[in-house]
Amino acid sequence: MVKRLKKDWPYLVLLLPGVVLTFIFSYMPIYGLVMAFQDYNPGLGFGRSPWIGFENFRFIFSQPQFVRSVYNTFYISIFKIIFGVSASVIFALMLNEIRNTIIKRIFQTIVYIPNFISWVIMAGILYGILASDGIVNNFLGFFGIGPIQFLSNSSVFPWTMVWTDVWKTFGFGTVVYLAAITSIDPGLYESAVIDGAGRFRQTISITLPMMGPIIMLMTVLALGTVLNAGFDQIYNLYSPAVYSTGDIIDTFVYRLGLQNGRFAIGTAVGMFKSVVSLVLISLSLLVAYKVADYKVF
Amino acid sequence: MSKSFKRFVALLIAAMMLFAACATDGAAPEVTGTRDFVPVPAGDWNVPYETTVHVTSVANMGNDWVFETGDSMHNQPWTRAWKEDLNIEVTWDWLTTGDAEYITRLNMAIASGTLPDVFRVNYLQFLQLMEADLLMDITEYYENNLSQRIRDYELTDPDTIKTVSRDGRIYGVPQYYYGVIDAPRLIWVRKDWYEAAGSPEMNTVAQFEELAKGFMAEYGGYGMATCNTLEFLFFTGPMFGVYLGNPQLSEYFWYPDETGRIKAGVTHPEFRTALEYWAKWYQEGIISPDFASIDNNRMHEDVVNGRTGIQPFWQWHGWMNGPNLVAVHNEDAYMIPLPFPTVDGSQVLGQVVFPNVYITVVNKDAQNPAAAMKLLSYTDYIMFDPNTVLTEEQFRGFTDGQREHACGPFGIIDPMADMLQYQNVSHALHTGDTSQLFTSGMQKKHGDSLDWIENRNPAGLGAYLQQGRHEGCSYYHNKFLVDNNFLIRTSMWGPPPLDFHQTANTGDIIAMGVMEIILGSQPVEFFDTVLAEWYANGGQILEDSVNAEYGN
Repeated sequence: MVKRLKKDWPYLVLLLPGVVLTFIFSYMPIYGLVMAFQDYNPGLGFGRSPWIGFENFRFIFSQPQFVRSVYNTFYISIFKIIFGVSASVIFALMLNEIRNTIIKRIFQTIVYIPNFISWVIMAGILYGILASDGIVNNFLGFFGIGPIQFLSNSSVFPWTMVWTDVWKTFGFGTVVYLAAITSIDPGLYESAVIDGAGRFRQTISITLPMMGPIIMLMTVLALGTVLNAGFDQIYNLYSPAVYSTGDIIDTFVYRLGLQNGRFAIGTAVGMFKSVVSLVLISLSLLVAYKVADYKVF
Repeated sequence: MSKSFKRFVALLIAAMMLFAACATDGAAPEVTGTRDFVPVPAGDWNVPYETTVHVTSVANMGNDWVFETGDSMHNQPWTRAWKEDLNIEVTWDWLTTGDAEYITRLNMAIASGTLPDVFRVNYLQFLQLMEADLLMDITEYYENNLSQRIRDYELTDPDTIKTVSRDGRIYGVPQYYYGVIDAPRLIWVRKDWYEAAGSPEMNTVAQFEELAKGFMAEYGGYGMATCNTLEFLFFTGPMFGVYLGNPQLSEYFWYPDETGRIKAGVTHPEFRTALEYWAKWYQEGIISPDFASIDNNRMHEDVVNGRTGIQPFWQWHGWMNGPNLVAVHNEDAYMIPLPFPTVDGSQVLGQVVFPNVYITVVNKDAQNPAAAMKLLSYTDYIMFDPNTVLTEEQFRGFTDGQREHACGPFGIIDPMADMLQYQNVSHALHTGDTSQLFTSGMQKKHGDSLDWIENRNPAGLGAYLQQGRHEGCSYYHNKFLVDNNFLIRTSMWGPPPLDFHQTANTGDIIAMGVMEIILGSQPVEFFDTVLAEWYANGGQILEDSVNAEYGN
């Protein structure tokens, strides 16, 4: 141990700033969770603000807006996972069939680019594309459809969030799945060809089954973050017209905690989310271990 | 690569990261004064300290503030003048650029016990600090070290000082406000389009609709600018005899119904009329088909890009969109203010909320509270005292680039400022007699207005449309409302009751319901359900607490 320390100490020093910053910004603020159990008055601070037990939690759960935001969070998140994984897998399979490396890389780059654009910029683009006189509605108009209010119709909005998120992020998933495909033993395909299997049969009988563990792993890990339905995306695109179906826990907390200055209530909601997330992440890691033999620790 | 070199590189990178993490902006100036107690010099407020007094403070800056080259918030005309004229050195512990950020930083400072000597708070923070016993009783300093002019503001407005007093003792100095004349909103219309349409009368809602449809037929786009927060659509409430707040902030305009009970505007029956009209406007395209997804910035973009020629707004529209409209289109493309029409053509009322928002307070542990009074008096002296004589250079130093706000919590406003300013600027512009322009603010508005009239400098458009346009500026219309008492004042004439804090986002309930009705997915009758939900989820608490604190 001492020998290793002696050898590696420069690298440990290199690690030190990150550890210090993580401790300061990620661990020390945990103390602030006491606010969730207080009638917090900044003037009195954590030490002197009166303790009120679970009153903040009782208040939150009595708010129909909160209950609605929990439902919306799960709804949007789960469909993002389902369609996000499906789109990535399908596109990876399609890319894998392209034999020309240059074209393959061009497509891979094109679908990956939106991943690097922030939601603030993406929101500006989407406002233009999805407006009643935007390109999408003009296109639908050729078929006698619409105009559809993608961002202000409460029935359509959650699906707009799902599909725009899939569009923005599936390129990253594609890279992961493509990497998984390239690691499949070529011998399997050669055997299949000898047995007379075509490209489609090879995909169904070899590629997809061999991708199974990584698909399962990615899906299960995503389930652990199901309460993160995409604050950046929804905050930049939602409005009161779609609160009923588009308001998620994070946007609700933002309006309540920061805009209205209800810090204790906001903390209570945040704590609720953290506890549920902890349970979900633990479960997902357990499932990942059982199904895909994936271990973090 | 040798091991020692690797170690060196690793250490260097680690040191750089630590340095970056700990670095500050390096802008903090060298301090020469003392924060220990210094005797207050005998005499009036403007007698300088014999020893330099150091006062710490914090400030929320505006994005549009501009300092001269080499200057910053730490070293600028105000801080230099305080040092030179009063021997008071002000340093800023931290600076923010946004209300939410300021509130959060201040709450953190309160919680961590790192409050500066003097700072500005809103009423909620004031109440919390009072409860925590962190504010100084400044009664003695208010009476002895604040200028008589500021104390006389109580004569103009006797109510505001009561909001910062407890048992006859004073715990803060209200910032005050520019006067009732700046409160009523107006409906702004593209001048070139309006004149091309023959400058028709717009006394009734029907005439307004005709004008909006005329603009749409001629120029495309939609009739009137509004956005997804509903704030600006709610500005049109007075057209239907209903008075409203900002639903995004869960703010309401409170006034009595026929029984005398104080109720929020959205609960008054006239609100149904407004809803009917708004839903009709949406169907007819007077409101943008995309308004529910248009945010505040995009609304203004649509105005500047000529997608609409009508916009409900405050009296300062000339600063907001005026220069951009002129730059993008032509020098007659700016918007001019008109009074809101009403359904039957009767006189519209201007709505007035309780105007004071901020309070300057002194940390209980501060050693030189009199310095804060002197600094406040200094701002008033520079900005509003008719006896103050400044050189052109001094005057521009204090006010150019929005720097009149760069005095931070030491800012204070004469509650009669804008009424007097308008009268005297208007008089000077129309007669050429500038002898009555006795404050720097008056000189600035007069100079800016002239700059637009004579040089077509867009930077002067704001002042021109607020005060300089003869019988057609926003203050011309608002003064008419004030002089004839065509005003409705909120019954909540003071800070919100503390019980308001027991509710959460009640404005969301209203906004969601109103949106559904306007977008046509629900009939107007659906608002009964919305109101029932509003009352059940906080509205009743709001109404009861307002009546308990401000009712008869």
